[in-house]
Amino acid sequence: MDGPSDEELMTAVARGEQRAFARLVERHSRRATALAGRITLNRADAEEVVQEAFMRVWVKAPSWRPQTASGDALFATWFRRVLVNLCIDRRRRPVSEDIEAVPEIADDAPSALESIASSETRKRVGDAVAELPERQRAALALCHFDEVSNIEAAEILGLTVGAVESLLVRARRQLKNSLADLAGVGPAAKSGGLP
Amino acid sequence: MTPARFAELIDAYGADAKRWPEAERAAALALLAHAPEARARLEEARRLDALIDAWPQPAAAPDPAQLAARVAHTAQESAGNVVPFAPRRKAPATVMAWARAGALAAAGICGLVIGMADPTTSNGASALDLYDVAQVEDASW
Repeated sequence: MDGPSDEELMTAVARGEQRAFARLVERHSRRATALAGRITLNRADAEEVVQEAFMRVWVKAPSWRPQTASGDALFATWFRRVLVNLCIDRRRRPVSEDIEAVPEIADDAPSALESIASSETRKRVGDAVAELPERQRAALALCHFDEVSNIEAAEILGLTVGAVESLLVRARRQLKNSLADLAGVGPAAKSGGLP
Repeated sequence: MTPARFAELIDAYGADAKRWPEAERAAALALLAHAPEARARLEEARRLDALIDAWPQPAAAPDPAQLAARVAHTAQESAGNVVPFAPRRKAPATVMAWARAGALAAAGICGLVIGMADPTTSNGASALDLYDVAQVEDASW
């Protein structure tokens, strides 16, 4: 990471330095918007949630202390926790946008849309993830796209690592069942173990 | 790493080893190297991963500078909504002392005037007596 760390920037934000705040926004807004978009499934909600999350950064900076379970000073973990909680807490509105009408937003996720990016596929996947409970959707978005570790995902969601793993298993199992014809696989088995 | 645990890893984190828990990654890769059935499961997970990659993301990233300015502006507006009470200006001690003395003197003067005007205390006649006298005087006209 170039320049001052997030934690150093937060210290500067606590002193009311707007330039430090602008640096934090520049550094995190893109991923934050992508994450919020995938959890809320709604453009307006995602944008509002991101703005609210950065508002909390600004307001809470004076009292913010870098504390994680592992003792690391991770602004990113705290910020994602704020963001995900705002996404989950937000009363879910009906998805008013036709997902096909929304231009696909390019992101830096690996192998994104390399092989199966047809609009029909995107619509089916969008419908399937919309059926997931929000915590499962949040866990999957964090671990699949944001590339956070299972430990960090547990911290963000306020759960144990085992609970996060359980959310992921259930989310992927449901998607596998919903998209079995596209994935070329049979419905997911309930139990683990290799075939 | 048991085959069952490997299956759990794949079911939770998918086929990409970089998403697997760091503490178990090496053991999982070692198992994968000599377990054909594990590779079959991995391939199935890879197809699901590819579908998850197609998860649409509806929101465009905002312009960071505009977002930062908007947040700062909103924060200032929110702070502006809380109007603090104007601090009460304390009067100098000497002014307060004179004010208290003045109030005391005014109270004394009022008491004196009321006392002098009260018929029951000035000459023993009640207000009704005076009323009666007035009536008599009126009648005499």
